[in-house]
Amino acid sequence: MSSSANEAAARASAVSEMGRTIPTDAEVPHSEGVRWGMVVDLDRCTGCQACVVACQAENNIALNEEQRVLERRAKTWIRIERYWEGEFPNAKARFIPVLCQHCGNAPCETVCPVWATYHNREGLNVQVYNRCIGTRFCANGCPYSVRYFNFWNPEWPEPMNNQLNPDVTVRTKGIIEKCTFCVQRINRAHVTAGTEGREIRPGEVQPACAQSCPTSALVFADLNNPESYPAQLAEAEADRSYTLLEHFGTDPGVIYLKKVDPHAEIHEDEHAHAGAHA
Amino acid sequence: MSGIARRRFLIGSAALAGGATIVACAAPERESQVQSFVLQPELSLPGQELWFATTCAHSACGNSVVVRTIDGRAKKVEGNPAFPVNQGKLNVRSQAGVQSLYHPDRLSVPKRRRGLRGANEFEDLEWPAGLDLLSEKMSEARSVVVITGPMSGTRARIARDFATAFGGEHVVYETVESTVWRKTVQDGLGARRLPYLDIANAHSILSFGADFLSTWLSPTQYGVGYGEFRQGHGERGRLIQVEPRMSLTGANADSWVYVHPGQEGVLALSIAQVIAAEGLAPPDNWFGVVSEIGGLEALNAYAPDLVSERTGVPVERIQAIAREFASHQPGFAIAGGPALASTNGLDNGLAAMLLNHMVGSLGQPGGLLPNPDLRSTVTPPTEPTSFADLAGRGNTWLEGEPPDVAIVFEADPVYGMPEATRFADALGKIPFVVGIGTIMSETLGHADLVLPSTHAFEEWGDYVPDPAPRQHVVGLQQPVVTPSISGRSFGDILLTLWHDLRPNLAPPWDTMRDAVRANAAEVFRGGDFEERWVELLKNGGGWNDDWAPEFTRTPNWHINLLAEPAFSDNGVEYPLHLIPFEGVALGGGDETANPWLQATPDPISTATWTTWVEMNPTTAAALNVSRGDVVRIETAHGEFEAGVYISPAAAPGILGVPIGQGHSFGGRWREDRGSNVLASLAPLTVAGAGGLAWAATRARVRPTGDYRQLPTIEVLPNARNDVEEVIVQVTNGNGDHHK
Repeated sequence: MSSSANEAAARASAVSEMGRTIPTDAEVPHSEGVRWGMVVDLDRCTGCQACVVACQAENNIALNEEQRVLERRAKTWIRIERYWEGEFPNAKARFIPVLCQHCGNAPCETVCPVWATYHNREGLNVQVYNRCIGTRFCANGCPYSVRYFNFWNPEWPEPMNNQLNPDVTVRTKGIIEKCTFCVQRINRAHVTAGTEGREIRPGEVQPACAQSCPTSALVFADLNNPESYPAQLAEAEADRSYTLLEHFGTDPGVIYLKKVDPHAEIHEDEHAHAGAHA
Repeated sequence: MSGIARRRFLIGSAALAGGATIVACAAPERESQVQSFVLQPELSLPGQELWFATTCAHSACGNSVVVRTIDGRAKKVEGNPAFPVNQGKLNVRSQAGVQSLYHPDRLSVPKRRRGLRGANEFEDLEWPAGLDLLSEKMSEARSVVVITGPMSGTRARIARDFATAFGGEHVVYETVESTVWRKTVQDGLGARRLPYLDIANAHSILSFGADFLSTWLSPTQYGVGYGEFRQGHGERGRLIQVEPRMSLTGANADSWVYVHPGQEGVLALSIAQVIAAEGLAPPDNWFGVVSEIGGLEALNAYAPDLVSERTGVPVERIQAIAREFASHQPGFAIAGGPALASTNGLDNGLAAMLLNHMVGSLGQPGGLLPNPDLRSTVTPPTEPTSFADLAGRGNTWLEGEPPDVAIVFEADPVYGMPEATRFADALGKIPFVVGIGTIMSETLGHADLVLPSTHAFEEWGDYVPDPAPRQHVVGLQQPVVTPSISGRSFGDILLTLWHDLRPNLAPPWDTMRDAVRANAAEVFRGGDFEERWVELLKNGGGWNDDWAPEFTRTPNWHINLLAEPAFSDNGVEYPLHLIPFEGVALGGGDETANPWLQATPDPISTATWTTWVEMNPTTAAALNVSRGDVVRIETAHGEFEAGVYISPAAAPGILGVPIGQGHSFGGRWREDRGSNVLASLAPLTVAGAGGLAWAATRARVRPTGDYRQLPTIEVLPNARNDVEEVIVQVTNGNGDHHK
């Protein structure tokens, strides 16, 4: 074997060794074959921001004070992106809730040197805060920009800390955080279901965003269960169904249904010169 | 304690806490001590979550919530799935309730003014001293005025009857009024209560400025219906929004139509004319109605080619709207926002109501439906006082006939009334002003005595949603946590004073809890009330179907009454139109102290924490200003500063400015931030309804030469340091933005 071949073998061996050390969540309660996911119907979404505040309330997200917004370091595990089409008088606003896509082939997972982010058995892209060393490789690798770095320790002036959710870890300076699909609720549902000797029932667990959404634009369930409402919805609305940046092959666990625009043809000429902004 | 019986004060405090003892200025004593597990505070089980159904009555959203509490602390607010208004869903403001509960700048002790009114110089008092001072002033008073925000149920009943007992009256102040819409449905439909919008079953909605997906009346209720409207039944509903400034509802519309400010009624009549001329609706629906209010001849004066220029809407567009609306029935037309905030706002609303008569969907599924009358034992939601009425009272006070005492609770007219009304000066004429609230406001800053009230999650109450969901509904409010400050509820303060000073006129209840129970016993009769009471608390209230009167078939209006809008200026010195708007999070400004809501991006601009002005690119170019430039917006009645936001949806000549900022009181996240657009408005009123014509002010813009980066969530291309560009086109038009 040439020296270069030896080197390649050594590298492969190291990767293999590292692969064996990837932590598993075998001991964590889970259901086999489940893939938690979400369907986002953009025809229902109004951009009202209810999901955004619900998420912040549930997940102990630090206050986004004005300076943080100016620095582009505000943390919103789910955010409503607003895009413009056309100009007055034919301008149209388009709203897209963007959260962690819990990708089946997540670019963030492969770049983490300490396996702080990994894929669990139920399809969740999990972030283990006390493993994270803050390289921010994952945030750079995420095409959806849904991973947020803590540049500061969060502060809640007393007695505002009374509101903090004891089920959710408060993240400290130097680590990455992101949407968990409210994993604490999923875990709680597992415990309840386990205590009662059954599986989690359809609809039994909802992340805070989906629970609050007035128009039911966000629906959450096991996408692998063909009987689940989101799975049926994605099937029934296949002509409107897409995933974000699907050409990257990330296999997102969030499925979007396009907004219906009965007058799209009116402004086709204007759209002909459409450009794309990052 | 001389004026107030000490025993009664303690009774009130204990009832607030649901039986637990409270102490002043700190967490409840027992909760801060190491305790045996067998001696835990009531209902506090370590690590165990408890859920309480209650109503966020203070935010006037009409939503019932369930609050998750752990170890005696409120952790999360969810929608009450049983409640027929919000059906388990919530809006941003209800979600943020826990943050106002645990706000670090909450009022915690009574305060007495030391310096000049409005100077924010107060000294702390003990509760007994505060109540004694109020009692002393009330005992000497010959007349009193009670100024509150919108309220209903037992609390409203107590406020009204208390004011009457003390020779005064109860005034309800809304920063952004519903008075014109109330008058519209009274005159246009003969409706005594606000109608139910059957959005879920509608196939088309034609909205003249009503931002029902954001802040208008009951947005959570409407949001639930909207989801079904879009994707819940066979035919996808069509939404047409007509307005001078694109609202959140407009941003979601299938057709967004710009109309010149104040010309919404003309456009509505033009749509009606097309429906009549093209036979788009059966004549049986509309011929009689049209004949009674002016006839076809009057309607024909609004043919599209005659009004296109006046409205700013092309002839073909008017015809298309009429065809789309009439051919997708059932559906309905509504009016709100700037359409009703013009000097001819009532006419605009009534012209829109004519469309409902014409398409024949009134009282039908998918149309506007009447809400049940209220039972006599329930105090209906108190009718808001119109702007003209309140401004008139202010003038009376200025002229030397003020009441002796004003009690203000959760209303901020000093902030919301235009400066031209001199309302702060008028309030200053009242010898003694007491403010009750959870956090300082401009009006409380002008008070002589400030009393800290309990939060909605710490007190008893009930609530009658308005608009109702086609049912007779009473939402119940109960303490979900033990108060951590020594606040008292507004109702308990009034009851204490009442019993002490006018015992012969006082109601039989010592506390709000007693009053709410007694009211519930009257409303929900039958069976064992103790069992019923527990069931009501568990469900967050009670509701049942009830008889609803039909709408009238004859509007109280005439087409020839449609007036031209008047503005604050002839358009020469002040050439631009100022259109204030309520943001989805901050609304009229009462929730501005809440950092979650401050940081919630405005859906249109994605801006946070500040005041901006939406401006069309051509308007900005003419003024030689760019995004982030600070401009001074001047009206004939005031001026303020705002950062420029270039919006491709803004109409040329229209300045959209959010309401809510520009406070001098209210804590670290509210004070000295942005500008108060309301202060600079002209004090024009809506004819026939008395509401503030807040869309009737013209303005001019002067660049200041300053630049401040706008705190927006959207990230613009080439955004490097101070260099930002305008987004004008970002998608391919099919909604697949990232494909």
